[in-house]
Amino acid sequence: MAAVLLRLRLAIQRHGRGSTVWVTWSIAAVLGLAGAGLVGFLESLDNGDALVLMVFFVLFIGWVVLPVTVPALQDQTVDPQRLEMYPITTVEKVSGLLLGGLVGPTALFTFLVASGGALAPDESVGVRVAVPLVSVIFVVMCVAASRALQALTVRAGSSRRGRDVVLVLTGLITIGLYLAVQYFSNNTSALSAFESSTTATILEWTPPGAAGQVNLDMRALDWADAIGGLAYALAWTVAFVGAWVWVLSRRDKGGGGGTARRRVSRTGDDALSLTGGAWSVLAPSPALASAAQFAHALFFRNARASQQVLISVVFAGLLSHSTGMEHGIPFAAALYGAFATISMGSGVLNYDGRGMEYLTVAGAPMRPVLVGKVAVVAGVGFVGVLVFVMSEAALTGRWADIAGAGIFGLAGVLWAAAVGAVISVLAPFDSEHRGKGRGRALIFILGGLGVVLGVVAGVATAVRALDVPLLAAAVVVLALAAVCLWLALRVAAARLQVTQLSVAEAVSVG
Amino acid sequence: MSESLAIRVEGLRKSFGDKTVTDGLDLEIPRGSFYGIAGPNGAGKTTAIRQIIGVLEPDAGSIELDGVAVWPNPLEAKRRLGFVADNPALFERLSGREMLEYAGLLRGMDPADIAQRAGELLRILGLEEAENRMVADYSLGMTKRIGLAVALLHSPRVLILDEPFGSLDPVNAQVMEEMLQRYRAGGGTVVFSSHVMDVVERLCDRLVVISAGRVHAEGTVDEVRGDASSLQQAFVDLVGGRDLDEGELSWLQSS
Repeated sequence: MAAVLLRLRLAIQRHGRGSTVWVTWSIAAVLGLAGAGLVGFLESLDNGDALVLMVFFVLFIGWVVLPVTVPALQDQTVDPQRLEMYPITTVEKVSGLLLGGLVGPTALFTFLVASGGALAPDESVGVRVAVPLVSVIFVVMCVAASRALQALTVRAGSSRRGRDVVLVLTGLITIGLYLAVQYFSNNTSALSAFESSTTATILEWTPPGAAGQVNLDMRALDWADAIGGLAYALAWTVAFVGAWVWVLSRRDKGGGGGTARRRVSRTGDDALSLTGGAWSVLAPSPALASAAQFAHALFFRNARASQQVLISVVFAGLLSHSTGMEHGIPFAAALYGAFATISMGSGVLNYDGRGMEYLTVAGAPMRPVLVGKVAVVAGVGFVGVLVFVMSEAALTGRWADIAGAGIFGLAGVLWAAAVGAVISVLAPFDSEHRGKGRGRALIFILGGLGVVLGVVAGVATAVRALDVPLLAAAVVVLALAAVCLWLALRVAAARLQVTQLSVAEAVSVG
Repeated sequence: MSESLAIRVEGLRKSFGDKTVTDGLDLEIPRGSFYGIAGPNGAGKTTAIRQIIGVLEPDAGSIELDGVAVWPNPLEAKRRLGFVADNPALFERLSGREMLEYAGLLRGMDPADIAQRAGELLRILGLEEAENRMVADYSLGMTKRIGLAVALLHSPRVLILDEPFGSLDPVNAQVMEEMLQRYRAGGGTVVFSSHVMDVVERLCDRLVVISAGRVHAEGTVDEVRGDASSLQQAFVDLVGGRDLDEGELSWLQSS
């Protein structure tokens, strides 16, 4: 059965990515060999043990954390839910998916890097042969831990409380990783701590560190410790596989699913639940309906969309604080608004799934649909700007700047929303299922990010060079950004009206 | 276009690569009728319907719906029709009620009308208990019922359904039949595709049998049945039957 599932995965990969599949494998091989060289070099150093273990640790963290914090990186080549109709036991399912997980570019990269010890100088032939075998165990550990956590988050995502927990955890992990990178990039001397034997001792007790330590013990010809470490690493691997089996078997038995019932909160016979609450102050319209639908997806119904919002607003804050504040709160606020909004707003159709097909069949007016979604993104971005500006003003005491900063921040939001609307229509893809269009979308998103941030930097430079009053400059810039957004929405909506069928296909792969 | 026609299709042709799916299709569907489109799997029923509802542009031919040319501008036609797909495409992260409200607001309906009609449709279709559950959590039968509610909400002139009775239990199938009859009695035109001949025979005034993208027979149920013992037999005679040879599938037996 494992071989059948492996063949299925390879066939899907071959049909899904076409000729680009070999490019991906080649890149993984080249990068993996480079990483192997680095590990081989570190093993040859006198104080390199902790650094070697850190490489194993970072590889493992990448496997475990990235698919959870960046949903697009999740491996959905063979979705376990699609296998539920077949008479396959959970153990068979996990065996097949595990084997499939081992045959991929990411697994190849990990295997090569972890096998770097075989390239270390003055190594015995026995160790050079044994190191890749340990690397296989390490890759199995990474795949099993990663897939178990993904299965757990999918299961958690089926209940409201589970979604909240996943959101908070991924937000905290993302912030923690970013802060760690920021800290070590600003305090390179702290990296010397990784050379210490204390760090090595701590790391070797972690599952990935244990796998790395086996290689170091073999290099030192300390076979007793190597065997002990191998047993420890194997135990963790078995535990991760067991956790994966447990999560999938719980789902097979129907455990963990949320009832997804919500309370009825209508205030009267004429009140609409979709546009009730705060929405009810606005006049009913197609744009309002679209905004309410999108807001429901972003904040209540779609865990991935919610993660995207959380990560966008948090990352924008960290980035703008660390790189924008040296030029003042107004510039940092514009940077914040632009970054948060382009991150949220460059795929406003991507969570619609078959809903986009409904819009096409129903002959829905595309401009209000797009306007509603972009308005939600801009609204969230502006609230983020206000929080950012007030926080920075409180930290620095520069309260006099908050009006200008707020206006510049809003201008950044509107400008990024304009670019995001165009990208959303030109490069749509299904956010929840792997399919064609992601690579193209990535190019558009990166290009859009460059354009948005480049213009923000250019405008900031121009404002400084012209030496005009801050508030006046802010108002002019805001007006220009508003015009850009208006134009962009007209162009993007006209394009969407024509391409709605292909967009509907692109966003509903699953 | 004659005032008495809800839909007129002339010379409808659509190909995908070398494969011609609709091959010069002509249809005249009377206003206020219950009209069946029958045909074997792959006959081109769904492709023809997708062209009629304005989501697939034909290579050649013309379509008029309620006096409006569907192509090249299908939006006006879409205002006048409701469509229920075999597996309706909906916003799955909205609840059933929210989906109805969303559909109504997109069509510019008055919120009071939306609330009143949505409540009535949810009650009649037996979805009141599930109205606050996400569509993603609905069974296929429930999805089909909410799809029908969404299609009926704006009271369209023409209702087009693709395999409407599949995946419905007998009680809900009966409710849907009654709703469609009531809709027709109010002046609406119902067009539905099916390859379940007893449903077509029971409900339709007229039907067309399509095979290989062409009309093989068109008329009242009696006319299409002709001398055959049943509409099912007439259908098989028209599109060609396929008998199993003796010995084929001989392995298919309980051990």
